[in-house]
Formats: sequence, structure tokens, C-alpha cells
Amino acid sequence: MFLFSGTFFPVSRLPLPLEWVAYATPLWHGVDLCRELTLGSVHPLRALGHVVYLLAFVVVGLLWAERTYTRRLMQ
Amino acid sequence: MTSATIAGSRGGLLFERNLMVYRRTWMIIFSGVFEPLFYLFSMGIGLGHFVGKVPLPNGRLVEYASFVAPALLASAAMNGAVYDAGNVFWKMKYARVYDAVLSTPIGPADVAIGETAWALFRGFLYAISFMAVAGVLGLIDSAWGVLALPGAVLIGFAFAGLGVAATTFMRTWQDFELIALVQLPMFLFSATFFPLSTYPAAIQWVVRCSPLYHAIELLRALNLGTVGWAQLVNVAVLLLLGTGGLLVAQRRIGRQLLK
Repeated sequence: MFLFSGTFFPVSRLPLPLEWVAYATPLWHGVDLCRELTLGSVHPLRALGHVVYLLAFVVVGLLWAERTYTRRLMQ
Repeated sequence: MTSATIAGSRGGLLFERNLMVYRRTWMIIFSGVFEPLFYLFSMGIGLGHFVGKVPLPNGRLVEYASFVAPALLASAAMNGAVYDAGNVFWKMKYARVYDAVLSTPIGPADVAIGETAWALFRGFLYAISFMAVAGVLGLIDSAWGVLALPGAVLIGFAFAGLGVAATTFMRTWQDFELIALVQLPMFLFSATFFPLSTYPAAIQWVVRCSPLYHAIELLRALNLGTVGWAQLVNVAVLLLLGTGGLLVAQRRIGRQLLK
């Protein structure tokens, strides 16, 4: 994920199926968001999409963690 | 001491033990094949497209992927060897594997030699798979490249020696962060991703002190066919580090386990 999420080269250089895998990774959204912000080329809708996608990971991750932690620790 | 005459002769038994243990967890070994390949695809081919060609000291221009591939192989050989050294720590302190081992005729020298041989064997497997892919991609520019296989084993030997020796100084898992603290900057700044000439003159001498730098120079020269006398220095440094590390490790393992 670290090596292929648009970190070192644009994901458009990847073969097409892998390009779509890269779009699915949370890191690509983070990388693209930071890049837009630091380069000053923010597309509001696109940036919002990144934020929503990352927030979804936060919410799902926390809910999932709560369930698995409860199962592990309460038994 | 009569045992000194046969010290190390039973290292093969420990090698065999590892072989049997990893038969069940071969996936751990197999996954290591992909680490250098992922770097090769990302840095060499993905990023390399934008980098273009790299000038060698003799003025020749080579593709970035050909430039970076041998460095990635050298780094992978280092990482694998150091990782195995961490394993030795776990076996020594937590699994207490050697307590049982040393109650048999197997001695500390056998342990040091057996574990190192195992690390080398593993590094050799990784080197073969990496060179095969690099070869298919046309990233090996010279027939000397064949020697990169034993070269990678030598690098594995150097870092296995260093790693096992360093491991004997570790008290807790937290101390392993120190190894990572050395290993990562070394990986990034040993002329791995860009040539030595990029650094300021004073820093170049610091880079030359890095063991990984010698590993990378050796494999790069073999891969690009620019072999010269400097490679003898590279080989000597790696041999020295490996044997020195092993001697230290053997002494300290003996002292820690047989007290």
C-alpha cells in the first residue's frame, strides 16, 4: 500500500485493474488529499470525497474494533 | 578443552531443525520474496519512469530500474539476515530453544553457525527469485550479474554476523527499535536510490562507512558490469563484518547460556 498508492508515482502509471485497487486504498485518498492541499490545487468536491472515505474507515474500524476487543477481553 | 576441536561441526543439526520448523510456516519465508519485488516495481519501474537515466561514475547512462535493482537485492539480503537475528533473540530469551539444544552435545558454536547458515540459505532463496524477475525484466546489464547470487549470500553473511552479534546485546524487545533506527536510514542513504556523487563530499565519507553501501556497490558493479578493484574492498569489508560478528556472537551466546 505504501509503495503503490500514488506515493512515489501517479497511480495512472499502474495497469488499469491495479489502478482501481489503488483507488480503493485509504492511503491513496490520504495521499491525494495532502497533495491537493500542499500543492494548492484543491478541488472541493474531490477533497470532500477523500475526507468522507477516510472518515468511513474511522467509523467502521472503531465499530469493528469495539466488537472484537469486547469479544477478546470480556470472555 | 576437547570440545573446541569439534566446535561448530554440529551446526547442520540446527539448520535441519529450522528446516523442519519452517515446513509448517513456509508462508513466512515465501512472503519475503515479494518485499524487494514490490520495491522494484514501485521505485524502479513506477518512479523510474520519471527519473529517466542515471549517470555512472564512468559517464555511462543506465536505466533507473537497472540502477536501483541491485541495491534492492542487497537491502533485501540485509533485511532478511537481520530479521533472522531477531528470531534468534526470541528463541534464546522466550522460547528457550537453546536451553534444550545446549543440553545435548551441540555447543554454542554450533548454534551460531547453524543459525547463520540458515539465514544465508534463506537469503539465497530470495536472491534467486529476485534475480529471476530482474532478468526477465531485462534489468541485468552484464554477465557478471550471475555473481550477484553468491554476492547476496555474502551480504547475508555479513549482516547475519552483525545481526546475531547485536542481538546478544539486546535485553528487551524495545531494544530492537535501536536496530530499526540504524537499519532504515542505512537503507535510504547508502547510495541505494541515488548515486554517491549526489552527496556533499563530507557526507560521502559517512556513506562509505555504511556496511550496506559496500553491499550495494558490490552488487551494482556486478549487475552493470563495472567490476573493478574497489569490489575487492567491498568483499573484504563484508567478510570482515560477518566473521567479526560471528566471533562476538559465539563468545557471548556461550557466556549467556552456559553460565
